Amino acid sequence: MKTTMTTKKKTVLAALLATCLSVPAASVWAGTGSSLGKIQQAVDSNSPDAIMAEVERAEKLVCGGCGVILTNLIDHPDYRVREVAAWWIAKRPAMRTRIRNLMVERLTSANGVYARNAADILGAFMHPDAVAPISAALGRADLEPVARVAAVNALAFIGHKVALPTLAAATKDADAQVRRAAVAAIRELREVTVSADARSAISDSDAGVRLEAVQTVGFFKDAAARVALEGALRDGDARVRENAAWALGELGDRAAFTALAAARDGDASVVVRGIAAAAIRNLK
Amino acid sequence: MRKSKRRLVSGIGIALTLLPGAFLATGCSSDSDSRTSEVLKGVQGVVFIQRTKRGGMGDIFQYADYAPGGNIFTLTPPSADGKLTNVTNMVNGDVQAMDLSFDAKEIVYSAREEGSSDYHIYRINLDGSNPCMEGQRGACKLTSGPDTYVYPIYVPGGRIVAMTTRVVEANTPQFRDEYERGVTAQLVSFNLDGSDLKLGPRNLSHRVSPALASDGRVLMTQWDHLGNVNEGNLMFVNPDMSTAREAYGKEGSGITNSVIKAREVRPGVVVAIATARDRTIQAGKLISIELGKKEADAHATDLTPQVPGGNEPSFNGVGRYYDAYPVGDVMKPSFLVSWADGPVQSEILGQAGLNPDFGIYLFDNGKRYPLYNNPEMWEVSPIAIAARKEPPTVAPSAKNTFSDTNVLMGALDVYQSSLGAIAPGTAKMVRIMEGFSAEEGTRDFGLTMFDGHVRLGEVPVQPDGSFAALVPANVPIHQQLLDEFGMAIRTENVWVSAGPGQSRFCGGCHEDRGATTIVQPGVAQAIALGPVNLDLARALRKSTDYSYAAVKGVPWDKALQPIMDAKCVSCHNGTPGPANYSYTLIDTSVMPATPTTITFDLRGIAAPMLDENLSTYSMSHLSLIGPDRILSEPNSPLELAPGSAMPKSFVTPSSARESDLIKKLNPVRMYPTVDMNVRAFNTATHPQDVGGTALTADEIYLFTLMADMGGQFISRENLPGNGY
Repeated sequence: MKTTMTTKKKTVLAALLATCLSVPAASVWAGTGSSLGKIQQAVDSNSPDAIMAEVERAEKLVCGGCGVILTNLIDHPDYRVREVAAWWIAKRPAMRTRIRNLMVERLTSANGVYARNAADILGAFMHPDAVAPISAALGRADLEPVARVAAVNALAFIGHKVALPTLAAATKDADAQVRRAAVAAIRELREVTVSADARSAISDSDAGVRLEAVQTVGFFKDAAARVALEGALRDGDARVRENAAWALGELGDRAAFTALAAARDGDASVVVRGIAAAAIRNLK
Repeated sequence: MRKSKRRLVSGIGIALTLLPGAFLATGCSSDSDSRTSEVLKGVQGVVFIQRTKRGGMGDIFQYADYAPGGNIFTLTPPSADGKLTNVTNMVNGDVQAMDLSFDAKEIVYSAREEGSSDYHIYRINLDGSNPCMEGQRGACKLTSGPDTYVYPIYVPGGRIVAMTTRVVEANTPQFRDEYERGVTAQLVSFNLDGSDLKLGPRNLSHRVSPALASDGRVLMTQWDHLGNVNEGNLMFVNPDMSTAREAYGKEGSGITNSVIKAREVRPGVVVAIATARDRTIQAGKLISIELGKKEADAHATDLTPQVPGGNEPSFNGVGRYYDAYPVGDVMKPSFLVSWADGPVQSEILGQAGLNPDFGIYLFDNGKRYPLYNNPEMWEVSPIAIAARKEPPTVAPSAKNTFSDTNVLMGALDVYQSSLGAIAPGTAKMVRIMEGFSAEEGTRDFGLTMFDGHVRLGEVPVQPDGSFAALVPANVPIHQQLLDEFGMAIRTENVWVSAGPGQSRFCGGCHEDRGATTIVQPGVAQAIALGPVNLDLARALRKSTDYSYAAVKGVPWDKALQPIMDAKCVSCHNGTPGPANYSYTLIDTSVMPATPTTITFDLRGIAAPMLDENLSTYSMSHLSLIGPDRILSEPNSPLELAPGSAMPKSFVTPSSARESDLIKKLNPVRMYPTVDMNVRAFNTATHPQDVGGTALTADEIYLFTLMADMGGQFISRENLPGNGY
């Protein structure tokens, strides 16, 4: 069978295999079995999958030398690696506190990537003590969009309801990506069961925001959103119409029948027609 | 697809054997063709998923790794000369999993389309037409909204069963596995048009890769993750997502850590992939499992002994199998498999900058006959295009007669257990606990491997060995059998759950698969007396105080530390001496290696730094839970300084009875009534033995509960403002 592997890669692979196969098989049990050397080897592989697996295996490893490696992963270009590093650090409370303070300071950075990474780490810590500094950062006009989106996503990850006012304000951000993230983040907050801001966002100028808005009100089964959702069945974006139909099915209000039937029978998109038909069957 | 990229490999003329470390040319192309034709006789074609090659999907429970470029193809007939047809024609989409309908005319699949952030479920006819709308081309979409839906399969009665991140319990977050951190995938079912969507009860971790058995039930892999148990095991569940039963692998009985992608070969026999949980790109050994009448009787045959069962790299010529679909004689089956050569292991491949190359093969009598491989892409999940008999529709599970909203949980006789003999009369109560994880806002529960626990209550074991309770629906439940001192004598080391109105009543957990557990009034004293109601609204599932009557969780700092401050720290205060032994650890992972001396201390002050790894847990948590657990970690860089005392942990997580701390405190009899004069162990009781102030029965029980629930530092009571 033909292979596309280059000769150079084959050589590298053979060398790696020779090294790897000279050591005993790793334990299959999760959460144990890592070491400083194995973490370093995984980091050297630059395989996010391998790094994640090895860091997970070091869950309870007490290893002073590991701290430096894990701290460096905070600025890894792959979010998944940053996230697993934060998870590992969060299990070492004093280290978490130190890194948390460092990340809060970084939120003020003019460097958007630094600020983004800080928001990612604070979000992955999942601790509500980060809500206030992240909210303050979002209040800054000079925070780069990439960091603003990360900050909103961090509030979603933390999931604490005290973030609701910040996210509500972010649904009106000038940047559409921030608004999208904010409308989506609201449904991640524990104990938040309805959002007038998400309802308002159904008429946002950006289709992505409108899509998240109809999904969020559908997620909440927000009865007060029915009329707005019926309007969204006529949206210019097919995915907004599809999800508006789905949301009306979630509401289950038979008053939506006429609007859904019109979508089922007349929408230009086969997908919208199908979802509308299923939504009608979900009406009470 | 460009024709030039196709590698129709029968002309290569080799069949790769599985003999150790060897490629053997055992046949010519005509041999391969003839054997393939013979085995696949009557099969009109093969349908398979083509995905962009990737290396970021090592974890077997990873279900949403997106790389654009995927589609579903048919190869008709299933041979080198077959015609390759793109069924889905997505642009920049990705296909995660699929199933073929009973009449072999359409497929259901999970895909993420360009511009979407979620995987959703679609159906499409194999000829590319829309099965929902006559005369239309393309797929019909069955799910929408902000959640992900994966692993769809057809089940009898015009329904589809799949997995979803959507949460069944309103206004609560979906579970996030504490270890792997992903939003968990749970069971869902809906009509063929997507309507009447029903969500199944939740496990604390993922459920993946369902398949249909010929009796109409669904076989799936469940991540059993409770304390040190961390494995993917096979479970049966009815298509209505009730009546979950163990199938293979529980209690560490599997031949590997996890078993995934099981498919029935014939009644009672399945083929599956056996592998480690991580780094194996969801690929591993091919195994055949005879399920037997009981889970304890199930056993597996390794069809590919050279393939590693752990997460070490596989050899060239050995590789790993991604999935398998049985074809041919069911008594002597062959398999359509997806296989990749070389080291199918993410770390090694990552270092080399490579991805595995899965292609489609016929696996027959220990040999692989190549069918199709595009070396630039993955080809996985091959299914023979042939009609199959639709199994009977499994009748909806009977509702329990006590509650439409709660789960009836219990057992006919707790002494009937495959987990070992229990002396008659020793079991007094069953402790029932709810599980939670990272989704409630914590990354950490303390120095042990246990997730969050909430004690819902304890239920008496009746003289006939029965017990019954009504518990919240859709909530993972952990059960322990208690002796008269409130200590666990058996722990069911898996989470179980059920939907509203359903029952989880053992005989059911380790019983004969063919047996029917009928729970009727009069068959058990617990039923005759009526189940104890342990249902509580979420807001009430946390301690209002730490009395026996009110305790739910045991937050170390709030529940235990005040007791230690009042009754322990006058002696156990970190001052080296007979009451406080010291030991010295050397961390060899830092240069120069740094010694840290730790002295037994039950105060609530922060633990020593050890380079930040332990601090801000209290010294009392470290002293009771930590030391030997830290040292016994495989590959730990910590070493005991020469001449140092050996550190010791005083709590055995999930077993108060085996915990030296609890033996010291010597629990008093709790059931049927508290008797301070009857103690669990025939030893001195601490701290009275040294003139200290005795702990009350409730205080001793708190320590017992802490140990039995896993020795966590963090409980729900530490997560303020969540309303739980």
